[in-house]
Amino acid sequence: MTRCPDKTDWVLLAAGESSPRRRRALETHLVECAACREELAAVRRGLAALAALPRETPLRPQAAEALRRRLAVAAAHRPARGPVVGLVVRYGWLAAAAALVLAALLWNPRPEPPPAAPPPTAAVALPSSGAAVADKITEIAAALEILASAGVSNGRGAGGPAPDNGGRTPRPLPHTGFEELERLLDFVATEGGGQS
Amino acid sequence: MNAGPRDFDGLQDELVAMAPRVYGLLVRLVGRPEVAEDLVQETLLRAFRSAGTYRPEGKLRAWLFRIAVNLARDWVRRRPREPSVGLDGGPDGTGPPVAAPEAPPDAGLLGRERAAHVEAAMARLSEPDRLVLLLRYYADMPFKDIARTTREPLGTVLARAHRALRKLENLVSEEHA
Repeated sequence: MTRCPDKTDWVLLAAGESSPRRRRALETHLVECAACREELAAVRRGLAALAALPRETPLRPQAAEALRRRLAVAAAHRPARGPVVGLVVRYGWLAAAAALVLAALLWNPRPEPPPAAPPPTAAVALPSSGAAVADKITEIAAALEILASAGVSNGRGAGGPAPDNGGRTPRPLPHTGFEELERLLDFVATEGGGQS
Repeated sequence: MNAGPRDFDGLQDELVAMAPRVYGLLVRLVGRPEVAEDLVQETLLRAFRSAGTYRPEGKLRAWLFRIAVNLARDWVRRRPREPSVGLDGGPDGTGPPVAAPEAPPDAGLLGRERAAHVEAAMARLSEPDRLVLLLRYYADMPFKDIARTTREPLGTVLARAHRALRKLENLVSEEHA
């Protein structure tokens, strides 16, 4: 008689997960081993007992309704495109604003001071117009941050878990954010252009 | 059963259709219907929101049950400590009494009686052992996927399945004797 296999082999066989080769070997062993036949039968009885449980357990009607409602809210906030395109759509306006700022700076470079007589603080201090632009960039970054966080509640950040506020209209984006951004971008464009 | 990353249409309905199975596992795992209802909602919402990252080569049902089990595991970790909690690797004793869902009314008297016996027997299994059987039955997961879901070696999962099936069979036989 061949050596008795591990008991877990009977679980795999009863569940139909043995490889064909292993199954043939186990069946060959079963022919000559009553103990293993009983082991397999017991495992099968256990699986059969499990099958007495209902496959589906319905949720209470109010829980099922709440589930449908929450899924509907999530569907209303989901991005319309795939994840990569969704990211581009979601953050593209931020990238565009940053590109605009960069372009304004590159188009209007301030001439370098003569190398023979650099001011003592040239290494750390920007010229006054450059410092003003840098300050404005800092302000823009802060404004963008405010807009990005406000955008989550305005449907712009739909990829993350949408706030479940019971289907109420999302909080509107504060107008001051966009106005401030436009004002700052105008400043960079005009100031940068006039500092040659 | 599979859905691609952009195949949102119908996914909502598909998830709702699977809710009774996910709930069936969760209620038998955590033992509290109100908690299981919250968890099933969270499971389906998470699945829906992250459907963009889902890859069609995976199985939607297995993915869904994996989310459910992770949420149940988190709930077990967060809840006030009770003795004999095994889902997060605690002792292998029997868990707290599991609120057995009622058998469907069309199951017949014998069917309901047998289902009640099996529910009672399942409640006496340790939570890790019970989880293996529940994933096998409700998620139709192969044992290697169960091992991936429970983050245990395949041999451990098979040993759990063997022990749980033998105990289940014994308990149900005793009830009928």
